[in-house]
Amino acid sequence: MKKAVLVTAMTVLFAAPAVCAPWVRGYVVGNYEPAFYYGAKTGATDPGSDCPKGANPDNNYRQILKTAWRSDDEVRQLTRTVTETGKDPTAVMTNALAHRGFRKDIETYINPFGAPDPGVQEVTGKIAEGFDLDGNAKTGGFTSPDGRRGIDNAYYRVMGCGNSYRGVAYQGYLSNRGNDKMLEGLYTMVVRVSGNQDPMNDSNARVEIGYSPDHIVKDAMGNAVSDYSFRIVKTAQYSSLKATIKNGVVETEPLAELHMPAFAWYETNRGEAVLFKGRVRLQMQPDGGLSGLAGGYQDFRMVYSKDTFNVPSGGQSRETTYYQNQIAMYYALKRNADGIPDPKTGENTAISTAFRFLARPAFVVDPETPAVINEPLTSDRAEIERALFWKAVTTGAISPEPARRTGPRPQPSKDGLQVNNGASPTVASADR
Amino acid sequence: MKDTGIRRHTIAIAFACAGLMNIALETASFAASPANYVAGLRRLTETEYRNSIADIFGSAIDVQGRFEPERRVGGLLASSSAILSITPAGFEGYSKMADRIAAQVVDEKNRGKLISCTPKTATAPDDKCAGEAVSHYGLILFRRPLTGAELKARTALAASIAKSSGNFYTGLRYALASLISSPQFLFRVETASAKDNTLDNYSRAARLSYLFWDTTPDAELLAAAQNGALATPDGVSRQVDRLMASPRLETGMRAFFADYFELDTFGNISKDPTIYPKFMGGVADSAKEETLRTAIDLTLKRNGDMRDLMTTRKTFINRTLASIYGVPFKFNSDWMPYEFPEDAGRSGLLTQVSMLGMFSHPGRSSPTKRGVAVLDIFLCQPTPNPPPNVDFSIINDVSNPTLKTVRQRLMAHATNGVCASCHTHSDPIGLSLEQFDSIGVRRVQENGQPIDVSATLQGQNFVGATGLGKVLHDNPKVAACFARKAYAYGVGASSERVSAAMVRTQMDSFTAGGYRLPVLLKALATSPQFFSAPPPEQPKVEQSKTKTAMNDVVH
Amino acid sequence: MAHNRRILLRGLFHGSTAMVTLPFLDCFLDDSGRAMAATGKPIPTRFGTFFWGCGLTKALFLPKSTGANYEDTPQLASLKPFKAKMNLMSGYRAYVDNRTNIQHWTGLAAITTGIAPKSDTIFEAQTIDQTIADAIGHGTRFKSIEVSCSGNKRESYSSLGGSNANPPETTPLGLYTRLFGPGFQDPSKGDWKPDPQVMLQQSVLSVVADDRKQLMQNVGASDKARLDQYFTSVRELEQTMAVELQRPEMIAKVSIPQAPEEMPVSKSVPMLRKVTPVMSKLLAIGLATNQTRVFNMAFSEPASTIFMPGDSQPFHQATHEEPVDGTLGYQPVTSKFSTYSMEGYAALLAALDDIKEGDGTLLDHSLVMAYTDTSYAKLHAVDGIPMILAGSANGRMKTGLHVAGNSETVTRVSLTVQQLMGLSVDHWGSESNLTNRAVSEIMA
Repeated sequence: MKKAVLVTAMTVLFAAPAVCAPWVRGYVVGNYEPAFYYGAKTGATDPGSDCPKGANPDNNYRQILKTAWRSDDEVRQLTRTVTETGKDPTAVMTNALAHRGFRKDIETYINPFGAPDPGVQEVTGKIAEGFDLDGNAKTGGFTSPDGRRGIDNAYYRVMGCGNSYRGVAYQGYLSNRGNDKMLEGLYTMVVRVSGNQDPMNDSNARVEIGYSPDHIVKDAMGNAVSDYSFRIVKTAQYSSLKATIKNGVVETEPLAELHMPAFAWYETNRGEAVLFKGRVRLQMQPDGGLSGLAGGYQDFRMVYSKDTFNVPSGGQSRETTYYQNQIAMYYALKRNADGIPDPKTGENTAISTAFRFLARPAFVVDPETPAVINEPLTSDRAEIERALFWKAVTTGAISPEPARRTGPRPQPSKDGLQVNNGASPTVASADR
Repeated sequence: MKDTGIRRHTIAIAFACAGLMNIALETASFAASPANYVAGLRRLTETEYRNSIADIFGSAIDVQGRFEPERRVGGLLASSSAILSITPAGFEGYSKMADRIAAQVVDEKNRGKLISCTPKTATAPDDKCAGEAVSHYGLILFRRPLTGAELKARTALAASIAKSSGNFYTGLRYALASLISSPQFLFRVETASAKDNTLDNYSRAARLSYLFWDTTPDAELLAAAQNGALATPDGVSRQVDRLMASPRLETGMRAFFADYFELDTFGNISKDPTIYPKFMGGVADSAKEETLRTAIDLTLKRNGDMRDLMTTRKTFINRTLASIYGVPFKFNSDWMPYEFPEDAGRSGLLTQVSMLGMFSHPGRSSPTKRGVAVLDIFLCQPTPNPPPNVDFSIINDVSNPTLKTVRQRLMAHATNGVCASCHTHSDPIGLSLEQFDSIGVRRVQENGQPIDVSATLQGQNFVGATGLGKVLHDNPKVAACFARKAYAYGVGASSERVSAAMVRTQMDSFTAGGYRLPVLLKALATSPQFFSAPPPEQPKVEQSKTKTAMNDVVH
Repeated sequence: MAHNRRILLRGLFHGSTAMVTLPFLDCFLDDSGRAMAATGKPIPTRFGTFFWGCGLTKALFLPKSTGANYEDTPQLASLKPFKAKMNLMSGYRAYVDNRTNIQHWTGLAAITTGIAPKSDTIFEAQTIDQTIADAIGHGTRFKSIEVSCSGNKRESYSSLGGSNANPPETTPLGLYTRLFGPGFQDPSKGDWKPDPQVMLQQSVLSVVADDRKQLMQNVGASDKARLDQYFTSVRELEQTMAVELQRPEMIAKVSIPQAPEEMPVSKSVPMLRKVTPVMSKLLAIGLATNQTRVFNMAFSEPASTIFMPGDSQPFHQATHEEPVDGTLGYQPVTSKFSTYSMEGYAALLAALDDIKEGDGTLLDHSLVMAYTDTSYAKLHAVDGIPMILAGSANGRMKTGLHVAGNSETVTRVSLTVQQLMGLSVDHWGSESNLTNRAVSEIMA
């Protein structure tokens, strides 16, 4: 459909009568996070209907490091406090954390199934935001806050009690961090809604989502400034969906694959989110802004891989800083996977997910000259590990551990994971 | 400073090529002759200083340092150059700047390009080479050949330092520094001949160059001074044509417009970030640039009617300004031309972010400030300060339930005779602009009330910014004020002391020429008044006889 | 007179020591008009930095009001004795532009170099303390002195650019030996050489002053007055320089201390509490005896791992792991570490303020800049990084104020600091961190 000719300035919002004319509204996302329903009233760790015991606490490292082949004494050495060692505890444990498996030589981030399932506290509440992805009110096990049944959001079930994710909407730790970074310029996600009838009611509308190469401008109060112009670029993270609008609520068709910018809070975890059978619901706000929900099935192995193999903040960092347990997470994701069965094995390969976001009014324009989004930076090491994990998890055979770094001992990193002598992840390092 | 296309260092080289060394070795003796006198002393403005150094030594030379501030006189900072001096703190800044510049000039990576001769040995004095370099740069820096004494002092300094430091270039460095911190460089010494009270040729060259290009005279202009061409109307006219035909005219006119529109006001204002979150750091600079581009585009590039600056809907915006004007930006380049639709209510420079933003409060608009600014800038009618015991409480009370709009609150002035004398002139102007807030965003309501933008000025009724724009466009005082300020800018006088009579012929040409800026500039620069000087001051016999104020006599 | 003076100076320049005494003029004052020792010689202004890692707890650190008489806040309690002698600069932002925000690095590098760096632990230009040392460090034994309170030899953020930092002294005894051990310059004895640059500058001014005669002929009265003012300014600068050619006198009331005992050093807070005052005192005496005019103290590193014995994890870990308390609205354990860091700064200021010098204290004659790498460490935020400027820079800085930066670039403060130290600089920093506006509210 042709893009609208008339562009409305968003500084004054009139109550518009139904009008038949091409229209466009653009938005820039300022807050973005997984759609995790918080069952308490305030804070982030309080017990609530979602997690009656509150947010999951930090790991008991003595417990998780103990294996059949690791002695109690070794474990004690590994879990000394900073008072005893004068060092960051993560640095002391870091290598051992990667070896918690049935055998000494198994690298257990790459081969999580090579370790026993330690279990994780999942969400036991019944309310979740998301979509009924399979059109079956009997599956999913959640009801949305506005009463829709059969909501499929198993990713929330797995991760929702996680310490770093849990909290009042848009106030969880990683959500805050993501917001701070987006507004700082880490990446820009834009949404464009258009149609030919009326922004509040349109049977033939369109929703586009994608990256913009243009930075958000942040005001002195820390919010994204409205009415800035952003180019929307048709990279791999761009999707265009048909939609209908009723009373300001926009519902899109499902796409076999909805590609959109991923929820990220530093350079190496931005990139692409792929939602199978993905769809979007948007709500125009009275102040001219937009709230949105995007949902679909994510390949659970990709979810694990992106979470675990990052520089600088990879598996160890996730566990020690964000209070996760990657092995438990792997097992939980797999057990809760509820979609896209593997044609050969019949096992589900994807897990139902939903993301939500808030956006400010903006002008979203097509670039007149080609514009480029920088690919997220990665490192050779992370790529190698991801490949090894993928092979392991798709064949069921243990992947060998990649060669250790041979260079000088790296300093402890800012996020707890070692980086190569403090070189930034911009440098692809062969020996990490 | 933006380079307008002519590489600056070619000018320095061109000097050598033009064989101006002959001039340099002449030892002129200005002051000795009783026929000459100093008619004026104009301190270089910051842009004049920076542009001059860039033209003389190349733009790779970094100029870091703090300049003495200028003051606005008769609406122009340039006019204060004729009355300000240099304070101790200011001179310290100039002295350090000079040293830093000189050090870079003789630095190994620059000396090949910038010092045309090579000493016999780099570890000892070389009077010949030092002399050549000092003469060469002395001429361009002082904008006239050095006197014998001036040259001798510097070469002696260079020699003694070269000797004691064992480095020729160290000696040359300090000699050059002594030129750059000399009053002969820092001030434009305007010398006149007592015979006919007109500026001498070198002073003419400087006046032309700083007016048209905001920089030091180039080789050709200095040659025209040396060979007497600038002593004749024909010679002047030819140089004026040359200067105006160059793309560098844009640099000169940008400096003039920045002064005329008082764009430096942004440096003294701030906006409340909670009320105007859009007014982030880049907005002020963008707004200044928009106004300059609009003015240059209309008056020079399109050779248009200058009065259209009051009414044009065409402008240039960048991404930042696009968010304030509420329009989408095309990302083809940093700046894009944009024309406001008619219903946007915008009218020329009056409704650009610059004018609207500079003359407002941090948290709300001010019709009085805007009105005063328009009167001052465009009509040459400055407003005196308010009396000392004014009670601002009513005007400032934005939560007053009965006086909801600022118009209602300002009515207090209309009823008080003392206030009305000034406010009846300024407030209507500002009230007609009230549909734009303190940072220039369009609004049609204030506190739930629609904003009434009708106004009356000297019997004329008009509505809104477009109404005001038309009134100003048609008011002959606007063009007249513009001409007076251009003249004042060029000669370093206060525009308040430029009478209509002084610029009559120039105004006639300007009017007949469709109010085109190049026509005005040509008329000004080729008029006999442009180079006229006040007669030399009588010796101090009776001091109290005629009390002449500083700028009473127009240069 | 001018002629004779020039010959006299030439003679000096040819190697003889500066034993000349120039006549002291009653009307002579330096720019600030105040910082004159009883002897009539100006007291040099000293500069120092204090770095602490992991920022502040907004709810406990930031006063809500700005200007003078801002309210006291818990995290600044230890600095209360110095409130009237310092300025709190809050709300400034390190702009990242198209570069990544390198965690725990970009913020501090933007403040000290004006440039958001491309990689971790790299400075893209020399740091501000070195630029200032270039300008004021003449005639002192050390260009600058760096110390690490936790004894970590990698904790130094003073650099000539690139990946090298000036190595810090890591123990009190080490600092003592460096300052007062072999090579100590007793200010009352020994060799002192005037800065040759100053003499050269003076000859330049002589030549400029000689232009006066020729110019003054045939000048009208009002222009004459202006030229008079100009040449007076030239003369004043000449005289300022003349004074710089004289040996600086030590007028502080200090005595050279005894060597401190061997002390263990570590990142534990109790240890830092012992070591920091000792290091501070030694530094102060070093400044007072003119061993240096510039110092850099690192209390902790950017991702600060100072810890309280008994805690399971150090500061940095806590910043990321400790959840925000729902009622309080901040992280209670983490916030204590910012308080400890401010206590360290207070110890430094106390040591400087303790030394009487002329009509005031060493602190009055100094400018100390405390800064950090982030605002809210949990998010690696670089928006709202606080800086605290203490001392009055010999009267050049107004004090007692809380200035809100309104998200303007941190380099506005860095530029101001350089101007307060007398550097001739009007613009600094690059891209969105490029500024030409000093914070005039704090400039006297």
